[in-house]
Amino acid sequence: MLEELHRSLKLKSPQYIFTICVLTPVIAIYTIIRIIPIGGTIFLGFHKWDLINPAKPFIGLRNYIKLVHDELFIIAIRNTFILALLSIVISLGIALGLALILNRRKMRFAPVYELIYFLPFIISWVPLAVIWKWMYDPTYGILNYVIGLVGMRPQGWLVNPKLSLYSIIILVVWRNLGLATVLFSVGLKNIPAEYFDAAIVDGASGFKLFRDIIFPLLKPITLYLFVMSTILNFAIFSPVYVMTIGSQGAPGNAVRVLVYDLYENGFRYLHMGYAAAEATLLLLIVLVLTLVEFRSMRYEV
Amino acid sequence: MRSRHRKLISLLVMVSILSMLLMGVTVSQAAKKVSLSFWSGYPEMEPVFNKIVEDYRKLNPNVDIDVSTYKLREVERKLAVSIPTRTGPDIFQRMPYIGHRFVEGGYIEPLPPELDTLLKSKVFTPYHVEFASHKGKTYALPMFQGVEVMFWNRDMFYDAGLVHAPTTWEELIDYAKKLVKFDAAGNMVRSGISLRLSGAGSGVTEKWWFWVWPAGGTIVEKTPTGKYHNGYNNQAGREALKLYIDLLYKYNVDGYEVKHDAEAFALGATAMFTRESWVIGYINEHAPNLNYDAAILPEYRRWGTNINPENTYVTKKCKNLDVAFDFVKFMLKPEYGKLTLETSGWFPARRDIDYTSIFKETPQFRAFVEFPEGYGAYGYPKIGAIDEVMTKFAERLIAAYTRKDLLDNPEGIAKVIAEAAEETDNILKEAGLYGEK
Repeated sequence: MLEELHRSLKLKSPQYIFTICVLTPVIAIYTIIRIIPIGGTIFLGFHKWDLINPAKPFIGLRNYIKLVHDELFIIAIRNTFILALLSIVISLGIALGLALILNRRKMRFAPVYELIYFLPFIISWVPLAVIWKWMYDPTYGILNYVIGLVGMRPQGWLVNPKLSLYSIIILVVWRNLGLATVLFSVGLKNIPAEYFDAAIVDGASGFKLFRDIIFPLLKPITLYLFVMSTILNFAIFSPVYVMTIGSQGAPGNAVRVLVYDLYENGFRYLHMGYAAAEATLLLLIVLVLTLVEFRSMRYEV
Repeated sequence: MRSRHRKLISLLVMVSILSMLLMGVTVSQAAKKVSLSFWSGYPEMEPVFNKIVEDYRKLNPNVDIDVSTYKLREVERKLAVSIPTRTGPDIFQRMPYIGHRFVEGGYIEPLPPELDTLLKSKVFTPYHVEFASHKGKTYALPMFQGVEVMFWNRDMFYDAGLVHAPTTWEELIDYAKKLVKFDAAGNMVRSGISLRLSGAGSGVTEKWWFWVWPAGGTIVEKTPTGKYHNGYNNQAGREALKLYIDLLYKYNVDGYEVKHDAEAFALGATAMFTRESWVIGYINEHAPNLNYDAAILPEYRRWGTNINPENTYVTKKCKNLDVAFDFVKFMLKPEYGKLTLETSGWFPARRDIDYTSIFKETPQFRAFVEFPEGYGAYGYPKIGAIDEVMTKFAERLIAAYTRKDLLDNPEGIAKVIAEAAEETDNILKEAGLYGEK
């Protein structure tokens, strides 16, 4: 067996030469734009550098020790977890419900609804955040108008620190809902009809059908969505940045997420080494969470 | 045949000589061609810069100046990354606390003697000289500046029986109470005064500064040793925070449910607020029929306003320093000062401009230059760490403003101020700028 493998790996084989020729530029580009910057960031995390001064003294683990005692970093971690967790759970929950409704046999115009739900996902974060900033306007925003119709007092959706993070979560859920709905729909369509027929013959219906047939067979898609959403939500920045700009914007700490904190430390206060250490921790957090998700949602093929 | 040959050779020689002469002229002209890049953080100033460049090019056709304007924070990031790598602009404008980082880093050219003399002349003030100096040399010329005033809506004031802007803290509270408006359901529809309560960045602290300074405090204070420490962990700091809490929860003259700042003022959603002169340009564009005025800030223990010059720097990357400094001087011509004021609302820094015609047209501008005796000025110190101090303190202020429990709670207010002051001092220590009182 080993010998066979050895033989197959010999570069004489034209397929392998072709493979190497094709892969080398890709790996080279990936190394230049991914591996080297990641390595550089990890290296920088052990130094003190203000971006302007060329001196970069080595300070060992000082940036990391300072980080774990940094109140703003703790706030950023807490807010990022709240934002990621709530937006993933809410958007996947609603998306699954919508996909189930759209995939009922009698449902008409399902693709049109899917398209409508998917549209926000293809719009860039910046215009979306600007539009939602208008919607959240305390005096002229549509949200306060709507809640006013049912007798509720107007709210400072963004400017009130108690509401601002949840206002951003609403935006994230709204944007990501379409992608999850479409992917769940694809998953539902791929479940063979015989499974349902057999289950119905066995007396399964409603929740039992969902628990024993639909949910287990949607596990690969759910896992994919969990992993992708975790990575995307932990790296969220643009909507938070846009929503905090100006006097009508959200307070920085109330919506402080990891990448926003990292950006402020690096490019506002010019603590580049410190921001690099923060980026390394972010990388580790996302890596660990992804592994946990893979393990907890392991499925048999 | 021979003669034809000779003629042909002569013709070729002549053509070659002419071509070489022509090429020589072109090469020498190309050698004289100068290209400069100029960056600013004020997009509203772009028409002014373009006009200046156009006029400069008429006098110097060989000079190309590429003007790029970005949003304020964006230009700061770009400068931080590009100047140390020598990929940035030849000339840029920014406030001294940003520009000074590059001066200290050795990336900025000192002013030539002619411009140094201009800066130190009566055209500018010692305040401007201080903001452009480092270790005995001068590095920048201020083009325009932010001056803080109180904007007030004349119609709303008259309706409430008030004829002028508040001049003291007592009047401020009294007027705001008279000016705030609620609908039948008890929802605030117009604030008596629009306070800066939110938004990321240093703006929240900057607006609070206008109240802590008259009370006798400041954000950071310079020690006799040239170092700094917090200037608000004192009675002034506690009084300024108490003023905000009282305005929000005791007198209920502002709240989170109404619009804020210049937009609110233009839309009639507030009766007064504090801001810089650009608001006049904004109102001219968005609410030309608004009946309003501008006034100096109210007095408490002392009287004054926040003035921050926008300095113009020439970087060491520039290969044509003489042209760059000539352009910087050209930008400061009084006619461009007037154009700056008329176009953007930003107030020119030089003092020798005759504004009579502009004041006739827009009397609100008077409040930005006509200061009474004893009216002081203060601004951002030239230290890079001030942005971090102001931004982090702003977050603490935002959190404090939401706390109704701070009403009639001097211990709670003192705790907020003391904790913030500790953070400020720690930032200064980390930057190596901290000095004991």
